[in-house]
Amino acid sequence: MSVSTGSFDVTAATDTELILHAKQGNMDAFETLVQRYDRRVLTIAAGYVNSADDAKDIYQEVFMRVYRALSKFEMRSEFSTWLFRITTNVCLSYRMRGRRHQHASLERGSEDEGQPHQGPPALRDETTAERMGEDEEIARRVAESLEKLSPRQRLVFTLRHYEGYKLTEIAEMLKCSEGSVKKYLFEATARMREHLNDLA
Amino acid sequence: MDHQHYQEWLQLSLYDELSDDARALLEDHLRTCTECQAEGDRLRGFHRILSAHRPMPVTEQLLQQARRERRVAWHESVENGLGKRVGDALMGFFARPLRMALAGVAILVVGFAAGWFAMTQSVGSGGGFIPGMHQAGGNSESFAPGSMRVQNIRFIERDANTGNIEVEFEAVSPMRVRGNVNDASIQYVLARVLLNEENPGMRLRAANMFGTASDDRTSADYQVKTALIAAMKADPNLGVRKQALTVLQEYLPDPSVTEAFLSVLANEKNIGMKIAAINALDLKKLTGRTASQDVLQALQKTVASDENNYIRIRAQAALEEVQQ
Repeated sequence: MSVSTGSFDVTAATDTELILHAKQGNMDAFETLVQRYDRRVLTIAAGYVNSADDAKDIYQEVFMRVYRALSKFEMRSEFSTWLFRITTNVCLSYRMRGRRHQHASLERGSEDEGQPHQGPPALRDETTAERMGEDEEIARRVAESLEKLSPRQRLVFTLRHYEGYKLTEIAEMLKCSEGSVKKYLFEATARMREHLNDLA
Repeated sequence: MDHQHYQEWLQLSLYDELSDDARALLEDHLRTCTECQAEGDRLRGFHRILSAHRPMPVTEQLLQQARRERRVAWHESVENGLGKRVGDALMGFFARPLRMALAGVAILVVGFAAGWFAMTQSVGSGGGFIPGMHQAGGNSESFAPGSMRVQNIRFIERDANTGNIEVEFEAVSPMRVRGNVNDASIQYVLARVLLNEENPGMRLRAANMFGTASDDRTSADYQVKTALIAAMKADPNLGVRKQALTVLQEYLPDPSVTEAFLSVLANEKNIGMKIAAINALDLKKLTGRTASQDVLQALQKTVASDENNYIRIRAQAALEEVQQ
């Protein structure tokens, strides 16, 4: 299939057309293709690591891999499926590289407590302040319980519960059966409930 | 069917992941089973708790920042890719005669085996490697040639008569190191990340980590300082350059750092960087030291010719300070 790059309208093109042009070195086509999905990549990463810096690291790694491997992408699956599969792989291996990321996000979480986003204390009544303090404490505990999950349990849980992906979609991303995804979800829920038992 | 099964269905129903048939069966069961009804209530309570925590939102600012860093990384990759294409062309030249290609493969295999032998020996004896570092996977016994990556292959010599060629390559093997940011082994790795890593986010992180090192900069490894200076002067990513500059302020009044700041002042295109450099030079840390002729000349040149008015004023103030 020959592809003309001269008068090619990237905004109206399909993913397949963009991929073909990108493979021929059209960086505009590649950029357009990536921008259709990169927010979702960053969102998945941010949900998984709960840290802006770590999410950006994952994002960079994902798109470096995509950049290097696009020429080998044979379009046997949707580009988005391939991309999200890479994203989940990078997420899982990122967690495996070192535990320092967890500490970073936790430290940041505790540093953020009581910061300006709450507004000046004098402007809030005590009940609201108390409630916000409780919510923060619960949020910290939930984040802590997520940290205790295995990488796969955590990824499945965040993708299903917070990002709203269907179990079949998650199974496709992780290249495993829907049954396995359910297993990770049930295990994650059970462990988190155990950890948060006193809050229920 | 046991309660456990229904309780799993309860969870799936909260995610709207239950088929119509299963949902009907679950509803039938819940009419009569108080245990599962109670479990349903507890599960809904758990979901309410979870709603207190939302994952970190992806703001437009964060996305744009990530995109900028990605474009820089791609750009660098394209530049590196040019060298690779030239290498590929050379490879094609050498590969034309089948006899030579086979000889090349044979030598590669021999080189690979030799590299493996040398690396396993080194790991075993602890010599030739960074202190405290060992191969990922735990011990040398787990190391196999399959975990090693060959890159930057270079053909050095070929003999038309025998078909023999000499090949040089880098054998890359996964390693792991643990320690404090003040440890030599960690600093060794971070310095290389700062200088060689493709991902600007990783380079920025390495620069950040140097910033958390011990306050005693006099004992800092020379290579750390050199890496930071190189990053401040030449890293394509502004954030990395800025962070390197921030960390390097701790090294003042080290003459090589002062000189590097002057270089930034003279050559940097970004105004913010130049302002940061001139502000750093103006610090009290320079007071009490005799300014070198180079410093004076660089400041005088800035006062005379810099395009930015603020920088000219700041250079004048710094000049007056170091001349006192």
